[in-house]
Amino acid sequence: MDRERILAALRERIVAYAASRVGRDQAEDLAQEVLLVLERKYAEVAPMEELMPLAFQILRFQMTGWRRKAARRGEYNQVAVQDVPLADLGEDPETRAGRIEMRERLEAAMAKMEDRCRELFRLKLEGNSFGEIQERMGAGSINTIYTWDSRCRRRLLELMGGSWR
Amino acid sequence: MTPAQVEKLIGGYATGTLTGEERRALFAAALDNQELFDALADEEALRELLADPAYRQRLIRLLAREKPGLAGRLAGWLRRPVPLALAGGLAAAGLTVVVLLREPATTPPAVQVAAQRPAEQSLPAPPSQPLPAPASQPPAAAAEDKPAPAAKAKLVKEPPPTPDVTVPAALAEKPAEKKEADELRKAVAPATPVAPAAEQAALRQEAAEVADVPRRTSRLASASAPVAPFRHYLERLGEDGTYTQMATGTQLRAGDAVRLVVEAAESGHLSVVLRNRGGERPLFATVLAPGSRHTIPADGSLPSEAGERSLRLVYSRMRIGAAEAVSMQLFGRRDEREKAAAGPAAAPMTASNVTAPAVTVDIPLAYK
Repeated sequence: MDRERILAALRERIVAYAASRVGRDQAEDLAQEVLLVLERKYAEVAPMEELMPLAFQILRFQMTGWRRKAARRGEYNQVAVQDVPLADLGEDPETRAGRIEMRERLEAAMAKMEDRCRELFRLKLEGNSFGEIQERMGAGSINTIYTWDSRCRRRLLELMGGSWR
Repeated sequence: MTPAQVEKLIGGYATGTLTGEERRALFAAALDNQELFDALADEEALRELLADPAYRQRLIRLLAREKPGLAGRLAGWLRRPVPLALAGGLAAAGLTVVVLLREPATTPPAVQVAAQRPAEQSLPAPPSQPLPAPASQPPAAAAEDKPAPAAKAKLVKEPPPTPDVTVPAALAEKPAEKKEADELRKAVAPATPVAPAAEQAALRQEAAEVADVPRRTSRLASASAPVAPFRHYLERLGEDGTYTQMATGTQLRAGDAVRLVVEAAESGHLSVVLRNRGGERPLFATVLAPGSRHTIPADGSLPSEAGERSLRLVYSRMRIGAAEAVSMQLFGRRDEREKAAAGPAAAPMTASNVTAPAVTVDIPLAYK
């Protein structure tokens, strides 16, 4: 699949995703912004396995920025321009707090997971591929590992309250 | 790789577990499947978190640790503040129950206290009607307050007591005993407030009740430790012009100069009444302070003509209690000096607190 077709499919998916998260009005703009960044900064990236992660990352940044802007622009909490502090180019406190909170939730959820899931997750974090994990855990086939991992992920997501964020 | 298999690969995306082929298969599937695409986009937050090597190592260490066993989890649960507070509260409650259950066993039997105070029975009872049992008094308590006639006669026939009598405390310091004393007070108290018009009648009833106090004090003593609120003895003027304490059983002769000495161990109200066949006469009333010593009368001595009489000491630990009820009935209102001595905590006299438990002691004086 060439880059143009990948980007076309990506746009369609991003619009649908953004529409379900931030609303249809903003979805088109968000998709446009993502593609614009991909086009301007990553024009040389062509393989799908590289382009897709980039798209997800840019999409996340764009959505976070959009939420922040929406909150700042909200009519219900409008403030005088002189009262608005200068933007910090670094990580804002809200993002930092959110990340810290997510870390705590993740650790608490992992502590509650079953032994096999903990072992599987540990092997994944150590950089093992599913094939290597199959060998380490003595599973009969790699499909078994896929199934275990899928169940463990669902369990982890459930322990996290249904969302990673 | 089937679509179902590909969807299972999503777990490997955030951790970077996927091989190139797996990634390609997953992303190709995501481009065709909106649900998978959404899941991958949501997974980005986790991927970003796990992209931090330090945090990744931290998680690896966390997962490498053995899961705590049952004892470990229980110990961890106990280390939290709420379970600690619960455990502490339960322990305190249990300790309180144990202390309350054990307390009555340490009190002396009632009969011992009654035997120490026969002076009350050696004098004729005041000319008052028998006190009817209050409405709120339980049947058992009422029965207890009415000793059998034979037992009363036996007490009257006992030999004259020594004047120096140790009086049991009407109220004890310990909370459990205080609680029991309060219960007893409730049993003796009238069930409904007394109307102002009937207050004098209630006071008279209380005064009559005071004459019957040994039975009550016996009950109190059976429920509380016999700690004397005051000590008292008689002193006689010797030939050398000084007063000395009289020995037990000393025979008085007409003209002997005798006086009463009271040494307070606890605070309370005390009144002293001289009683003879002609009636009663107030001699003394004061607020006792711990460690204070009182000579009655302050100057001179008690009446010393031949004949039999007695001194009645009425003690109440309450600010307004039976003793003060008697003293107010006999003396009228307290004077300003006593009010000042009573301090700011002095409570106005009301019908409801007139019934505070009191201790009476009768000291017979027989001058030949």
